[in-house]
Amino acid sequence: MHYILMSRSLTNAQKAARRLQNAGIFAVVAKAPQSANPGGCTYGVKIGLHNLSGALSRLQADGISVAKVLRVTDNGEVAEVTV
Amino acid sequence: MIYLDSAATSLYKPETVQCAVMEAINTMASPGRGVHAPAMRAADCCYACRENLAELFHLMNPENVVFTFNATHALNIAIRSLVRRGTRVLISGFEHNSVTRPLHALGAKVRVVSAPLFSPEVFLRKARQMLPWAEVVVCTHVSNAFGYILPVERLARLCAGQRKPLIVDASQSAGVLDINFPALGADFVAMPGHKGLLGPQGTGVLLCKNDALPLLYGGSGSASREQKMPDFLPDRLEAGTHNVAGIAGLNAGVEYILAKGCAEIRERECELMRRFADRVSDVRGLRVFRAGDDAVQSGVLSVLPENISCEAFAEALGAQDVAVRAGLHCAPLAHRSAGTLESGTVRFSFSPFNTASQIDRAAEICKNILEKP
Repeated sequence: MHYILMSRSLTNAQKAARRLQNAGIFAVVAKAPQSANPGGCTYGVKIGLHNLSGALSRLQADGISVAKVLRVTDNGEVAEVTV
Repeated sequence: MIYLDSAATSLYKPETVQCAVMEAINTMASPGRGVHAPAMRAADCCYACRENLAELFHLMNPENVVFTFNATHALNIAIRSLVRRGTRVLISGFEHNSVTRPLHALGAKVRVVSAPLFSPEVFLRKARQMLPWAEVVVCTHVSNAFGYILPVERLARLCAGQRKPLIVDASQSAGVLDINFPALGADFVAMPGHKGLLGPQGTGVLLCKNDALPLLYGGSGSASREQKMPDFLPDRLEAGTHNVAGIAGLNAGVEYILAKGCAEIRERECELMRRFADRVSDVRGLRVFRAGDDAVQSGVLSVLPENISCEAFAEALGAQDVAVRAGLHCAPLAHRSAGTLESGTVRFSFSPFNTASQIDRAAEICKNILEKP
């Protein structure tokens, strides 16, 4: 299972991923699942199961907004997480 | 070949530029069009370039760095974002056609701050007088025809004081003069990638303070169900496939500049310009447009031969493998300001990769052409 922190754009996701990586948090850019994404294609940052609060705190401190948080199970089920 | 036309395109570039272009062609696809390895390599490359450009121009946010296909493209986005038919626009007397033609096409009301060449104080005094009339100001940082460095920082402060939006054309200054975009306070700074930034042709950059209107509409790899362009940068202004190979080369050029520093590059170019100017200053029948104060001239020098046309002089130089540009340099307004609209000039523009021996040889060839019996 992992989380995807959805961004408004690829560039925004890259910026978020870079900040998290610099803070020592595993983060890679990922395309958000269509089912969770009514606006069409967008990207997010994939992070590990235990990094959610640290990642959100880091991004908030850097002024980088997260559109929403998705939890993706190992069999691909997607659910939005309220944070 | 002695290439002295770097104000048009920098021919001499760091080796890393061509390596980066080749690597991109061979290994990269299109950013924002998938998460497979070639697409993500392209995305990483483009983002790295945005970050490096943000560092060079002191931006906090790489999203405000927009890729364009050249400076003209960037200027058209900026101008069309701020100017409508009848908008009152103040411009310097040294603007390129890439500024004046879009303004003409839009039907803007344009006034020119007329001031002599290499006279920043006169320019500022007149600009201050004319500024209340203006709704938008557009100013080149450096004249492409004469290398005249206009006082854009002081102009920007005047504009900020009266809340007038400012567009700066940094076509001749990006990569050579330090530009602190947030401190400058301009709304837009437009630049090519293929001149001082040492990237390939087909690359350009627009630095945006805030939002802008799209010039092109199409796929952005984001918000795909919407028929409006995305409302966020850079996607809003980057419709269609990026010039990834060009951006990869541009990134290598910017990395070189960051490592060297603009100050060193400027000093090198100016040293070469001064060396050349000194060597041709006593050539009979040659008028040299050199500032009395080195602080207001970049590595560009225009000259005017008195006894032959500029085109004939440039052709004679070309026959001896010296590459320069003759004519109006797409900047008739600058030539009107300098009094050379009828003749044009011959422009010598220098690169940090030119050598002193090239400069000496080019000056000797000038002398031989113009002083031969």
